Amino acid sequence: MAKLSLDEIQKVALLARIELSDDELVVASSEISSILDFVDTIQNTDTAGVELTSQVTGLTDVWREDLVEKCAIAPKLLLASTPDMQDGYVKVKKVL
Amino acid sequence: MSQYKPTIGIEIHAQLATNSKMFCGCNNDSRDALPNTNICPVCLALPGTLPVINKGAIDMAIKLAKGFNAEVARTTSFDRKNYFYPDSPKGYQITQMDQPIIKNGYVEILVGGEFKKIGIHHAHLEEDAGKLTHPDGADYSLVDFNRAGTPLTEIVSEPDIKSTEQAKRYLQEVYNIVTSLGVCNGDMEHGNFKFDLNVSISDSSTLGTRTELKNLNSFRNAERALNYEIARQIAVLESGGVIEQETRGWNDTKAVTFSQRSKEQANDYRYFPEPDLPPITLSQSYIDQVQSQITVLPIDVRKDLVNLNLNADEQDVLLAQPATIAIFKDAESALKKPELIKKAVNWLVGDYQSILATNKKPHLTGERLAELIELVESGVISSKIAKSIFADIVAGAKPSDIVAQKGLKQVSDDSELENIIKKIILDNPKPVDDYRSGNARVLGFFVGEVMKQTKGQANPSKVNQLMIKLLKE
Repeated sequence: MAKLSLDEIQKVALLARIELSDDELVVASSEISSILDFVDTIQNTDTAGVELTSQVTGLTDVWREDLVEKCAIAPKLLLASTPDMQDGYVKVKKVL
Repeated sequence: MSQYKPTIGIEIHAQLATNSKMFCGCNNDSRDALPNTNICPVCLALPGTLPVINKGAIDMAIKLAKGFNAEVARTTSFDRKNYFYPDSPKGYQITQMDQPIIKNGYVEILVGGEFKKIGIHHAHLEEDAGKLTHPDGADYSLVDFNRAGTPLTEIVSEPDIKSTEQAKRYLQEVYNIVTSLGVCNGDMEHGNFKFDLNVSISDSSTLGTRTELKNLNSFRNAERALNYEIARQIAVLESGGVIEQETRGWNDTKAVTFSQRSKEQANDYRYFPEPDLPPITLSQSYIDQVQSQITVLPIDVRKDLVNLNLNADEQDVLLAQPATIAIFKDAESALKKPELIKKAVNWLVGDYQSILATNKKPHLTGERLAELIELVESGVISSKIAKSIFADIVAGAKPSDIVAQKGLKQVSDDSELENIIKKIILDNPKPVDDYRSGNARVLGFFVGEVMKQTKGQANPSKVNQLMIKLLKE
């Protein structure tokens, strides 16, 4: 069984920006480990002769011409759920 | 002391000059836009939205492949690079990891009079993030999403660069390629063209540990940062230390590189194939069709200019200006003779550049430049007159029209010149005596008088010849 250490779980949580309590870390550790076991099972499937697939629609070349299309929705409305704005900018916690 | 040799690899981010963004129809030019006005549900990543690939960006990549002597991938696809940062609305960047659109190319650089090939490992398409600003002293940052979704190409070199000089030449050459192909506006002050430099040093054939200098946006800073970093690494090794693999920034004011421990390592980005974008397949005939629109590549122009004995600085002046290259190419085909083509280049790197400093909308064409050169060559106007009317020609005047309008034709007619000269001889008995008693230097005075009276339109060699003849009579 692929057992993830609590440190590894903590790191994954950090990358996902999820805050976990010590208890939750333990629960997540066993749950994620069992998910990895499942992945192991899938990886053991014989896939010889099966084409690598990351798309199931069979579509290709879905694109658009390079034309400017002004958005019909006003910027103010698009940003209506933003908690804090200043002079038209989105205000966020200091990042530098 | 050991002989340390640097090895440098460069990643360049060039913003593509498409009309609309990479995955939505928002205007890609926000230079004059208020913050957060060129935005839509797609580039803001509102729930339920889907990206659609901009074909213009694909076409630009196909052109770039030609500029880089590279393959265009017949199948190309996108991947997600996951990270959280306030300038990234989606929480991931759509980029290309497994199947980049451009592969296996090279750029030729001219160093020490010889051409050297620098390998291009690949170049891929991706989207830019929004722009973060950090007001002085504030405990917050501000985000403008106008730039979010701007198409970028990341150009990744092989570690073939062996000196600061070569790195500089490589950056300049790639810059020339992206701007002359019209795929990048090349406005470096506005971050159109930025680069990361990977540097290591070694005194053996094994590569040393590398550091990455992030986010440089001027050729000069690239040079300074590289020189500093190479010296820093040598000093660390010489004093018995080890180079740590790390990301470093460049502080322009202090002129030093500094450690910037990055929070995420490569495998932390959890790349996976972008499920929202089906792959792109490109046929050879489509690739050929797009690439056939390219008329001239900067390297070909550079080779022309080398043959015309232009120095590197003069070459760079021309090569950094795609519009000027076009004028040069047209003038070249009109003039044909190398000595005249050289004259065209002299105009373009000389007088034309000073006019460009103030005239932002020049109307000079290759045909008109060629016409001006022919007018001088055939003796219709003097080179001095040519200089005096050049600004008008750049402003849009046709050379022969302006010569006719202003009555600037060079006076080469013997009888007309003889009359003028005879009068000057009569009016200046003293200098005439001086000349006749052996003072040849006064000849200059006479020639000057003729020029004054003909407003510079007299053919100087003719004047000299006639002057000597008439003074002896």
